[in-house]
Amino acid sequence: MCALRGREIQLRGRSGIGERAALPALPSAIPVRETGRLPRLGRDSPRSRAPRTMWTSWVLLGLVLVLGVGAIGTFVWAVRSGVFSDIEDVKYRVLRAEEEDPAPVPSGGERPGAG
Amino acid sequence: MLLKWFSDEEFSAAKNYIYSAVAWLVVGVTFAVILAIKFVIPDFLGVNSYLTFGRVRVAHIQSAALGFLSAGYVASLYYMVPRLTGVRLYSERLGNFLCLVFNATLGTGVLAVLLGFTEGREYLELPRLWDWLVLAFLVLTAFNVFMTIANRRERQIYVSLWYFMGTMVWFPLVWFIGNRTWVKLDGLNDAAVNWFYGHNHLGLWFTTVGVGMVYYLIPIITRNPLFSHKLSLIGFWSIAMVYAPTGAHHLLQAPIPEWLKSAAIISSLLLLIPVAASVTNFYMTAKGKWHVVFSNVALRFTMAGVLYYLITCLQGPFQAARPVNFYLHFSNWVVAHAHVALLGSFGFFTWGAIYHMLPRILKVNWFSMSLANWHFWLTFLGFWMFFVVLTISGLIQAAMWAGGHPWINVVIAQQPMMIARMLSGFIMLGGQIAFAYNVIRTVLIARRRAIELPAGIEPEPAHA
Repeated sequence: MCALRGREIQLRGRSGIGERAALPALPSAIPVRETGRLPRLGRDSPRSRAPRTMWTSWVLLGLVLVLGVGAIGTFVWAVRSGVFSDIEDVKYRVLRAEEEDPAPVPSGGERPGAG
Repeated sequence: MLLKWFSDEEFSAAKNYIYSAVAWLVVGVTFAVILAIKFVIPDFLGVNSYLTFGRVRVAHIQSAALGFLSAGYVASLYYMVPRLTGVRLYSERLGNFLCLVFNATLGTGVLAVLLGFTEGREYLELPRLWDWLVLAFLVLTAFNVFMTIANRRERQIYVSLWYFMGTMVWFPLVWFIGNRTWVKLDGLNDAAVNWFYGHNHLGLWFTTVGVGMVYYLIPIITRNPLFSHKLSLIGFWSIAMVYAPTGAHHLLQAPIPEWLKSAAIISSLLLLIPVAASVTNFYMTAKGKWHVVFSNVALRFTMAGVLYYLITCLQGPFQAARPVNFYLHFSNWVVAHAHVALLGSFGFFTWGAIYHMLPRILKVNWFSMSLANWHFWLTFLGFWMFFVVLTISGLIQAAMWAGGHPWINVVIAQQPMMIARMLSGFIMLGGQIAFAYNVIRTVLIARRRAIELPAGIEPEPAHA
């Protein structure tokens, strides 16, 4: 209780704008003031409420990590398999991607298209 | 007729997706104009519940974003991946079959939305059955793309292929998570996941495929090699690293954890790295060939899209800053921003790609370059008008709300902007009708030539 109250006092002191500013940051202080007892690791504890209400945030965090680690893994694979060796060469070969095609014939419209 | 949907002809899947994109474009823009009219004449189309604003808006988003853009994107994947790998698409039959599935899913989905069946979530309005169908579509499309790349002749992988591969890993996953087909969520959790999906739909589908398309189009059309392949890869890997958490910047005013908000803001700012890499590369690649923009409508659309992309990506981090977000987030500014991304950037990329691909697939030039030019200028100027008007409208809304004006006064102040918005919608619709007519006439000419020319004889090229 002391630690909790100490934190409440400390926050009030640090914010410097009075009780109103400190209260929203300390939802755990409410049961202390209302019941006069410490919050238990039960229904009224913010620590126990957090996983129940905001677990999707952890799912999202996990997903971000999976995507990030996957990207790093792919990058490492690409480097080790030589995909990035002579890195600028491929951009010249791309210019030949459509060279084998016959050019489109005129359609009978106004002038040869530039599509 | 049905056999055409299971054709094994080279580029037939890309062709069918282009046709689908054009059809959905006309539908999507028509819905948009209906909405714009309703802003000026609220009783337009009466009290018919099927055509109320809420339902038509969803139908517009689904048909324009999922229909036009996504069909154009898959067409580009099925055209560009074989070009870049030097092999045919792994399965044209699968691609054509998936095109049929795509159109059936979206057609019935839009109908369902108009009938009032919706999940009621932003960008995820299609009912649950449709979520699974789209997921199956995405997974099978990814399979087709990856198998083509696996069979490639080139060991080196060009940056466009990196973007396409990244997208085909990320987006099915984002769709799966975002649609919550796997879990039931409520309240704030639902909103957090919704915006994880909402922004990653933009960033890990429309952005990544779109940027990959531009990396293909500019060098091929200008005949200039890419300015720096290394820089382009830095852009790709940085977007891979930082994009995923950005969605929470839509919830800065909501009681989600502060660290999630901060992660979203920081990643939004870091996005300037891939954007700077891409845009620098695009402009530097076109260096010395800017005159081609005047003669080549595909390049003109693409470079206009790059301009809009730059605007979008400069606005994004700016809007993610907390004070700016607080001031602007619920105004028409954001509507303008969303449209400069989807219609301005990715729409223009898609038109550029279609103008480039269709003549090469059909082996015949466009029916009319005048119509193509009309399409460009009506769309470009119409969109500028739309964007400027909505941006001003958003600033007025934000200022009036911040000043504590009564809500009805804000509505009255919007009237001139809503009329201008409607006019810009008609201008852009005119451009799309010209485009659709040009496509139809070009296809008809190609079909007539295919009948006239005996099999095995290639038409003579008109110009080198």
